Amino acid sequence: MGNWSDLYDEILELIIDKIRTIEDIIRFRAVCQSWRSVSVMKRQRQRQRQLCPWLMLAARKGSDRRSFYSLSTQKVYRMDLPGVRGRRCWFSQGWLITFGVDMEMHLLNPFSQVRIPLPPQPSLPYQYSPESKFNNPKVLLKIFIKKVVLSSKPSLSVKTTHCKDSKDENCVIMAISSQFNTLAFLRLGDKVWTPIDSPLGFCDIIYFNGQFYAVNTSGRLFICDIYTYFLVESLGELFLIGQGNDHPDFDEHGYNNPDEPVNENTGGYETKGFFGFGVYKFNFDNRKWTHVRSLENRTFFVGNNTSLAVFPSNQCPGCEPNCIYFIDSYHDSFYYGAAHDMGVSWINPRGIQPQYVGRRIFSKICTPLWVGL
Amino acid sequence: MSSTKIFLKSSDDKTFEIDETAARASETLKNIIDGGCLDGVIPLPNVSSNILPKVIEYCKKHGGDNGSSKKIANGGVDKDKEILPDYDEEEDKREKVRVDELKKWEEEYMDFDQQVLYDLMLAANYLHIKGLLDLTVEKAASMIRGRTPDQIRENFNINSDFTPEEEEEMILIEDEWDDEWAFD
Repeated sequence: MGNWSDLYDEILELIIDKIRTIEDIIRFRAVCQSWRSVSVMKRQRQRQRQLCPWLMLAARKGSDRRSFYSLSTQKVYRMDLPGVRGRRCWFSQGWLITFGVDMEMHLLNPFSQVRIPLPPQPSLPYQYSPESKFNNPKVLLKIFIKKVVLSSKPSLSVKTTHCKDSKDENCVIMAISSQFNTLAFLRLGDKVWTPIDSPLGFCDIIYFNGQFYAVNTSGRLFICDIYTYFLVESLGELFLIGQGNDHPDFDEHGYNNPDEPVNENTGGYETKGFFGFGVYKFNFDNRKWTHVRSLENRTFFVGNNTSLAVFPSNQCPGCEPNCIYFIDSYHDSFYYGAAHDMGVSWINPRGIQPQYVGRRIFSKICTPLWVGL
Repeated sequence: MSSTKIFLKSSDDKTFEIDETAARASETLKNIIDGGCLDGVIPLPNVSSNILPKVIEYCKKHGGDNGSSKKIANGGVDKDKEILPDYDEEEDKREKVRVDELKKWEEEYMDFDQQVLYDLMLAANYLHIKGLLDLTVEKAASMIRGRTPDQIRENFNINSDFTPEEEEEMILIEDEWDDEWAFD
């Protein structure tokens, strides 16, 4: 006797492809655990949206319940969503981004009710002055945040059902906020929003082909570069170091290849997520950057200083060849009183380790920097 | 086309006969035939004797033509034909009759319970008969669309492995279409 709950995943997926409304998918997922997990995993992988979205109807004061209108069946469904009570919502990549008068922000999956905390509104740039009449939670709720967009679905296990302090460095969240409609981003797990040095007046953002694109009120399109770049000179060669773990060029050059050896000495070291460095050498003949897989025994030191390159000799203790020693170099990082990110990164095999482990990295005046003789 | 006979042996050791042209509807059988290593009977350890005749019936009808169910899915219009310069109205009519007839045949052919559906779907998957897999998957989907989880479980004889609380949480509740609305 064949058991439908044990049907091969590939056949279940074919069946799911023939289900055409969100409500039928929801009911499909309520049949049994295995059907649920196949459907959830399939959706997690799939980039193309195939079903007509629901219209989430306006909030009713003091209610945990939200209603959704289905264009497919012209019916209204209701769901208990205590997580959105009294909160403004945006939607991106299957998740609601919520913001309330408590100034807290969350990701909330309306179907699984999984909730992930985000850094609160006060860590967004360009806050109103304390004297401003706009500096009032009720007003801020209405005007401060214009839009929030995710680069991808946060990777979570299917079984998770409760509030999670999640960390997923591949999930970048970008917001248009403040009276100037400026951009700020974070990687899931970050404690603060990081402002992007950019013009003002953005009205929309989208994640496309590995990058965020933003459009301003006059229709000009901008590519948002959330990577930090350093220039380093060494023995007549000019190098560019791109810091950011999903640099678009990395994939193309196999940088993110999972088969690539990973240095195992990374033992739980927490960084702000800038795991990856891409190194490029400038070719002065064709005026192009070439990705390089080896530093040829150089050691680079980057941060809030002119970047340095060293050829460590055998008698140079503490200085590993083929590594990049880095310090947080966000222009605004000292605003929050800390250099949150500091370490040493191997290029091949890749890996990361702490370097200075002490408390003397916090300063509102001047964060650490490399100085030499 | 030759009408060489092929012999298929079911999981319970019963032998069935099928024309080679019909057998070619199955990608798996086609590869075995074209592989040239065919020696007598092809054993099909994953297909039982109560399903194999059903599979053979489908193959006979479709005689190696994997695309026929696709034509139906596209409303019976063969796009290649439309752009032919000498478009033949008579031919078009005959095609429509053929498609209508096939639809009717499929309707009768697909009249069976969920257990046969399950086995036939797995057989179509195993033998790579795309048209048949499509038909069976569509039938399964039609037994899901617009139904509650309870009805779906009943249709497929599935036992829920969720706790009553989880089931409660997953219920999709229809709301009043236009209840009173206080804007504030």
